[in-house]
Amino acid sequence: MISLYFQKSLITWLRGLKSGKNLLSFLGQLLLAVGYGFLFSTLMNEAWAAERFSAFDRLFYATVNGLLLLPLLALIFPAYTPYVTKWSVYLPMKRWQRFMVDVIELLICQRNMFCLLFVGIFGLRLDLYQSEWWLMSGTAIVLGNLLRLQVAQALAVTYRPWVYASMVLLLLLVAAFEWILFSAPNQMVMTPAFAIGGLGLLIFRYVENNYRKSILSRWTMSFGPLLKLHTNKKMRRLLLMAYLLRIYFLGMAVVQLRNPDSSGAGVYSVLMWMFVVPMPLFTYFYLNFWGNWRGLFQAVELRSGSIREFWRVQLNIMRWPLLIDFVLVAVFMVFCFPEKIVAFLLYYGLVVLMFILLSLAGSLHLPMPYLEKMKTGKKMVSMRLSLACFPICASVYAIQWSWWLAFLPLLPLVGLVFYLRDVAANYPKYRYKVIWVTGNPEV
Amino acid sequence: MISVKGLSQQFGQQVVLDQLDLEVGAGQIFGLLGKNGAGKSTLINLILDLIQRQEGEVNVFGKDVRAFVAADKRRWGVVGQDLGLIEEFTAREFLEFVAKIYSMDGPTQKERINDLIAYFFEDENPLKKSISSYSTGMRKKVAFCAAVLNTPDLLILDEPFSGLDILAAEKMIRFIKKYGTGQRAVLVSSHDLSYLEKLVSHIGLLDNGQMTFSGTFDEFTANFKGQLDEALLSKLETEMTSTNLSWI
Repeated sequence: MISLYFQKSLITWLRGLKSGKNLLSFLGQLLLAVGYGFLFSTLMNEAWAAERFSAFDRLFYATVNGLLLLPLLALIFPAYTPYVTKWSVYLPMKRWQRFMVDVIELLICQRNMFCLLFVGIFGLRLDLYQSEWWLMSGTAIVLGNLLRLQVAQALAVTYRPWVYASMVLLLLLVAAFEWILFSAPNQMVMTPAFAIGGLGLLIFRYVENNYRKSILSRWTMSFGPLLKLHTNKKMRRLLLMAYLLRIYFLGMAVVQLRNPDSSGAGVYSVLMWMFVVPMPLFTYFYLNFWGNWRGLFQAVELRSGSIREFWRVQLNIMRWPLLIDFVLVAVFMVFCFPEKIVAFLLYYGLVVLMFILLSLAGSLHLPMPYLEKMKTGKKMVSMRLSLACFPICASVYAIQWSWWLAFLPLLPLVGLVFYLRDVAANYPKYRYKVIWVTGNPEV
Repeated sequence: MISVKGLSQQFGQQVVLDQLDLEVGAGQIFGLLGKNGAGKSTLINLILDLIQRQEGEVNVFGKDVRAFVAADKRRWGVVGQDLGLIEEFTAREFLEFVAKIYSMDGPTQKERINDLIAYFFEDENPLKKSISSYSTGMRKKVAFCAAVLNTPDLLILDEPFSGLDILAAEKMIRFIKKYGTGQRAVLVSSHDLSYLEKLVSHIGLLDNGQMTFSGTFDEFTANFKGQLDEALLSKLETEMTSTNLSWI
């Protein structure tokens, strides 16, 4: 059964490559994977040769963390079909077999093959710390994929409780194993992520099960019907993930601050975490914007047609998540870095603005092909996006933080320019595209 | 109220509309007829400015639809093929949301929503669930309520009766007949001829991308004793016996 499944997967994959576009995308990604391998290893070797050890460290851990985040990015960017829908209930397979096939499928997917190619080239060209690289990058890939499956479970409409629980347990075991294996300060980044993530999802499952009847449910509804839009299952889960990660990263900042000697943390390090953290929030905005609410979009489009109206609704939806997020982070900053609060406020405002602008730009720029791909479960787009995010993720770590501060005022400006030029100018065109597909005319 | 001139549209090599003209005036309930794939929905989408027009003019309320602003869009109510409902809302929440888009004041909004729900839904209990759990007919009724909530001057309805039970369809017909009088107009596309028969004052027949007939209901059915289906069949010149189906 399982071998048949893989044969089928292989044939599907090969068929997919027959399309010129897909083949080009495949080759492009292949080139990227090879190119990144050469680029990063060269950068690291040069950093070591020039005795820029901190840059070397940053690059090293950035790439490891990048590999860890890659499967997650593939998940949170659209193009994912929850695994439970792939299997017919009539197939004579046991649950554990299905689960294992999903795990294996995740590990041998095209994206991971590219990752391994990158890891291989990177490792072979690395002058130092080769064994650490193999071990850590391999762990990151496996952990990232397992975490992806775990999150996919959370996002899936239906799932088996025991499979879910066993996955969480597996993750916790892996985390514990990793905790024992590594003692470097940066490993503290990865290990608690899984522990907290796993526990958080367990708690979340409890909350989710009791959500409808809970006080929480009534409480959120009291903010008005629009809040429902971001408290539907998928959004609620994504938002919860965003907050869990937010709390986790804040926790990491505290851990680093308590051990400044071993972690080399300071205010800029903490701010760096702040920069990384808005990613899930950005994804949340992004999903909100790009037509996750087709009905909403159409209701506004048909009855008003004003982008301002659309904005108003979106801001209404985003208001509470943003406010909660702001309070969460502001409290932390007030207690830990009261002297930097003004700089932080400016920074926070700019970053959030940038993410919102990029979300909106992306939402209008890209909607339908992505939605279609999500429906059909094609993975090209998400992989392309993930690979595109990889150097960005790495560069956040690699570049000196002070440079980022200099760049910050430019970021929203760039976002705004992008929005105005590429999106607003072509707004009707994209709008037509959206409605054209959602309208589903006979001809 | 609706004026379409020389409208042409093609998708790839397929010509869907070819130099089509259409006039719908105030006080008319205009039935749009045609075979499957004749281009009725495309025409409606073009009138609504939902797809990019390739050639021709589409004016509604004397203004090019491309130049429509929010104030113009408040003057039409639409039930399209995609109903555009927000699945997470209940019917009442959705109608309240639509009322907000129209900036309706509280008492008017409440009164109209209550009236519409009382008229179209005998039992209000199922409406307390989210729209995602509604049947096709219920969805259609909610979409219709949203379309008429603002008492627009023009109603554009694409297959409004599909999925409705006979009672609901009858209620909708009575509503539309009462609604489409005076300075208002209704454009309705449907394959349910028995319902259209009771409803429309004017007929437009779309065939091969062109409006092959446009006139009053009486003119359309003049030689067929008011039988819409007979008249339509004769106009479409269907070849009914060309295929050998002896294996049946």
